Amino acid sequence: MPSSSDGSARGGPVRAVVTGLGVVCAIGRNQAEFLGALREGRSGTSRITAYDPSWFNTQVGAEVRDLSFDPYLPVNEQRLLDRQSLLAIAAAAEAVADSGFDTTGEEDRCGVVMGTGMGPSVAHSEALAEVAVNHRKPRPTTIPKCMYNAPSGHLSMLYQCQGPSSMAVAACASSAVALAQALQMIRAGVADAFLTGGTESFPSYALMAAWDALPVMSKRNDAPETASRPFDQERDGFVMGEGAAVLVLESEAHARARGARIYGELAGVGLSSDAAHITRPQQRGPELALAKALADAGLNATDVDYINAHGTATPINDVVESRAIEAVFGPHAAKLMVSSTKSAHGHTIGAAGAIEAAATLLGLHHGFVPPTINFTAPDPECHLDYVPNQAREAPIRVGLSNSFAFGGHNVVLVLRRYDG
Amino acid sequence: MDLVADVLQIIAEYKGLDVTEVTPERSFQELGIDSLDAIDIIYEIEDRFGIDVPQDALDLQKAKTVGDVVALVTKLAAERSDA
Repeated sequence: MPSSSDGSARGGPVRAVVTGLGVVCAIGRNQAEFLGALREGRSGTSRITAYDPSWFNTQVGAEVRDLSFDPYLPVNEQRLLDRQSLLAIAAAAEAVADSGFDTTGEEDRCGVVMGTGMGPSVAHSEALAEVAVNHRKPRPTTIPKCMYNAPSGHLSMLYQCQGPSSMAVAACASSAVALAQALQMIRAGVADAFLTGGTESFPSYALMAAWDALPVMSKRNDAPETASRPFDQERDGFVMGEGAAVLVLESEAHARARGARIYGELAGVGLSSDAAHITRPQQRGPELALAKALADAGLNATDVDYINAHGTATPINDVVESRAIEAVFGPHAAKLMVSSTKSAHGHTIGAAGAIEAAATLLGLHHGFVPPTINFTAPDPECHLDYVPNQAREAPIRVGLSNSFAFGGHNVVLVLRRYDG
Repeated sequence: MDLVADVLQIIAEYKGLDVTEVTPERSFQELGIDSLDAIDIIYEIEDRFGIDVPQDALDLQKAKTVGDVVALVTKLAAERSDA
């Protein structure tokens, strides 16, 4: 592959395109399963199996089931990795195969930027238990397992990406920040191609117990599939999920030079901070991020067809997010399709931005909008078209993906259909 | 002796090797065992035999072979049964 960091095929600013998608989450262990579940509006939520949840208020989650990591890493090496890294490796393997990405001969022009929210919480909890219960030093392998940056380190080794590699940590916006950083580095000519995305394992028992003490998760234990219901009047909080998504993001010139299939363009990003409260959603920060994203991509509000909402299904998020969209898009808000795929795959925290970008790109590429499932009674304070329950066939040209995180970190990604 | 066989088995499983490849005279380097692996293997052995290997008992700068680990574990196990 020729190295090409000096601009797009058209000689304008460097554009970045997505040429590979790997996804692992509760509704799909690969891209094809994920796509099928989005089209069919399937839920991935069920009773938690990672540990006994019977004493929790919330006993449901969106876990990845029946996934073996053996095809990706020898069994004896898996013990050196926390689940967050294993999920990332599974998603990356698919993305790389999907794109035909090969770093040979240009290793230093290829990088890795991943995101994680809560990091290797299982390894942390095991180490704590070893000290507190057994009064013994944890195994030394705890250190490489407990590194938040382990997923990016492992991906750089597996695929010989010798350019920049790091992890972004911004709670529920982590992987959206990762994609933004990869885009900015491609634009700046720092590298030509990135493995970028995010990963999050289901929280450790201890961490989930703490989440359970915070009244933000759905308690719909008697009907798990219906627990995640963003923008619905009966919503009662989010459903914890897990998963990973990895995108192969390349400069347009690089992708075209090697004749890669292109899912869409990452045309811009908007980043902002609420600077207000560590957990309470604000309207101003999301508005800023939406406006900055449009400006960065050189688009008008009327150019946007679809928004993959942050849409957690907490009572406050969905109202504040809807208001922010109305404020930025004005009259065009009524024409927008807005859905939250968290209704299906749950809230995957640090992987959410990347998984939802993947959902948006698959929509752009295949010409459909994934639905908000479990939508039965509209919230009177949420006035948009939330694409209820059924996927909608629609030739979308521009889709946004919102990620608004605890900590006040806001990221909006602009994804555009690639027409050459 | 069962203890020796068990140690060889633990090392083989840890590195994903056939147990016949793991013999006392083979070096860590030959088997691809780095210092992190060696410490982790000691933890496996501690769990299996219910012994406590003092942190300075196995000098990883000096211990070079599977036999060095076998000798140490044999000694510690004997001390435990004497106690």
